[in-house]
Amino acid sequence: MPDPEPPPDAADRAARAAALVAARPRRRRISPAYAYIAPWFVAFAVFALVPMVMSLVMSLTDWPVIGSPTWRGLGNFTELARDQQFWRSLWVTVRFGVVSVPLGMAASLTVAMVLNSRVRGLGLYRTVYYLPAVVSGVAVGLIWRWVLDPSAGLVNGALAVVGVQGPGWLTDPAWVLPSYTMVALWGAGGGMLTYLVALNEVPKDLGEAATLQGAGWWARLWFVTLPLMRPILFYNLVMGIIGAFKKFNDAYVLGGAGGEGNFLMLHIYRTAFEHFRMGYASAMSWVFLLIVLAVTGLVFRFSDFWTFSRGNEES
Amino acid sequence: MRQRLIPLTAALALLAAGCGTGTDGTAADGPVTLTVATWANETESDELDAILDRLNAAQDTYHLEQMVVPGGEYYTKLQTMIAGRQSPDLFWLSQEYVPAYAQNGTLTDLTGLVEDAVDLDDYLPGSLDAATVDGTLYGLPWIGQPYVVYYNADRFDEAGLDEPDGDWDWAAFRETARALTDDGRWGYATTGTPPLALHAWGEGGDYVDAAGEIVLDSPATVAGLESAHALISDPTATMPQALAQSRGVESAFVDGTVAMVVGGAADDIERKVAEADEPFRVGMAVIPAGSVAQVTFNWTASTVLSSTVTDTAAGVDALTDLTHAMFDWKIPAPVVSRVGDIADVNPQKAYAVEVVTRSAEIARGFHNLPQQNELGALVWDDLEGPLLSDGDGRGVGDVAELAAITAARMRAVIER
Repeated sequence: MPDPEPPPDAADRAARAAALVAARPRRRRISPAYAYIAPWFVAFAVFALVPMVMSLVMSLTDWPVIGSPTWRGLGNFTELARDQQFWRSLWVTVRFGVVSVPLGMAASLTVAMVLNSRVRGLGLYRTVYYLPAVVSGVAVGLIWRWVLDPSAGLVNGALAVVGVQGPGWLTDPAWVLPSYTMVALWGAGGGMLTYLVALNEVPKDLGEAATLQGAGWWARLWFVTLPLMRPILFYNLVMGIIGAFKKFNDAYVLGGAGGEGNFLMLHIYRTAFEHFRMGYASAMSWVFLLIVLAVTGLVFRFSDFWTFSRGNEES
Repeated sequence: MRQRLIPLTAALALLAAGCGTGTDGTAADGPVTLTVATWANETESDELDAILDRLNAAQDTYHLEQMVVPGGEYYTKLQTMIAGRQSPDLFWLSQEYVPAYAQNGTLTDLTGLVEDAVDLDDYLPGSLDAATVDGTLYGLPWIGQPYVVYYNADRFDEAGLDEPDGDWDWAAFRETARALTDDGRWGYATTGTPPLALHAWGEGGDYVDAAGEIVLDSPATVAGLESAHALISDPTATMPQALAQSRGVESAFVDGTVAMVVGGAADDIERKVAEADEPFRVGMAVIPAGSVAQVTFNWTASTVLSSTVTDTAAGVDALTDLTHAMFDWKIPAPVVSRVGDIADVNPQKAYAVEVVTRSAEIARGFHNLPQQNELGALVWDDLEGPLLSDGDGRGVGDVAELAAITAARMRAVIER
């Protein structure tokens, strides 16, 4: 009788089991996360990604919307380079952004600081100041069209009470951008929430320490509060710049004399739907996107300044 | 698998049937359902619905349904519907849009289809021209009102001036405006009405001629623009532009600050003056003549038939019936035989029937091109706006040079 085969040792068994597992066809396990994001991804693909790709294709055509497109290659982009109207609209938009974004940030921060103090009816004030942020742009435009009406408007009516003849806010080119800035400041309460959160995050002991060392209110704000709020200021700056570039709703309703209300988004819309040039408008949109990306990138380039860190503190 | 496909196919078929409307919405053996897109306001849409109900009850060829789109969104919606192959069957088009829609094949050529039902010879020439592109008729105008001069007759009495009888030119108009201008009151005010092209027409010029050529920089056109600019920027005759913009021309006329303004013949000026704090007697005169012709502007809009309507006969029947019905509506009809009806529609206009009739005879529209909207915006930004505001008070320099630059840009748009 032959000798029985010696039992394999444990290492051998493990090696065999591993070989068996390796030889078996692998079944990759799909993470359920994909299922969770699928609805949003599908919506993004259908309503954003596909239109973006189509818009890129359209930008290479001459398409009058109500007719058939014809191939134009890069013709739209070369035309854009010497299109005075496009650059004029961009200039209007940039001027508005340069004025309204810092003013809006300052106004939002001021309101937030006031509403961060202990005053009676705080909830009511916060609601009232935030209200413009939840009103649609078109409604805002309609309200301000009445407020700024030269003959029956609220502003000129108030000025008339003190014997001042108000200007044609939207009918005199010189007053159009100040009017839009006024509208933007009226809605500055929208940015207040983030500032309120940031103000609450500022450690109170730092302010108290500064006070003990003789710092006044202004010094505390400048050397303690604002540096600690830099990330929020940076966020609001970026969002403000993008918002200024995207100005459309109230401009569509309000207009403005001398082309001063012809913001870039409005110009693109008119080119597409009033001038029957969807292809050219698509090319504008892509150039516009590159400009916004470049400006935002420039701001990010200096993001170190906006980020509170030990390095900032030391510098 | 097959068992699964059958209900799926059935469901899709049902869905398709639910979404579609058959051949122009034709129900079996029933009238063709046709949609009419309009920019009517709430009151107007109710009135138009009543008209459509009467038309629908009077025959069994078609059934009209109104689709109201708010004015500001009208053309965006319309163009999106057409791009999505969902064009309304009939729709209103303002005169400047007709060439673009015709060029892109979205309209039915009505030449030879409507003459039996509508007397085209009865149309005011300016009105029908606006619906005609390269000799082809694409729509039936349903509204037309010539521009006229409204004046404050009491101010004329006060200044010892004879009321205008229509036999006047722009030079006489300017002198009259000067005579009516005193401290805080002006003879004339405008913020762009009438279009400055009207002055060019009076000198024998045009922006775009009948052949579609840009003639904005022609000597005759420049002469008209110079005349217009001289009148508008004359503070001894015309209210300063910034103030006119601020006050509003019509309200300045109604409150007696301005003695003469230009407006549509059907505008509700008389009622507003009658209801003003200090009412006065309103007069109406024909637009002054230029050195070559006496001509006024006529704003029109047409109803057109989509080229996607397959039952063209039913569509044409609906279009012609609707046009006739709208001639009986409150809106001034663009036909010679109905011009006098303005007194029936608005008894306060009875005094002016003769002026309106004469104005209708000399009225015209623009020679619109497919790029009309783009050209109009360009002309406004580069030429008319600066002329009206006198370059925001800084002057405009040489009008001929300004016209030449604008004309070159217009040509670039057309040649693109």
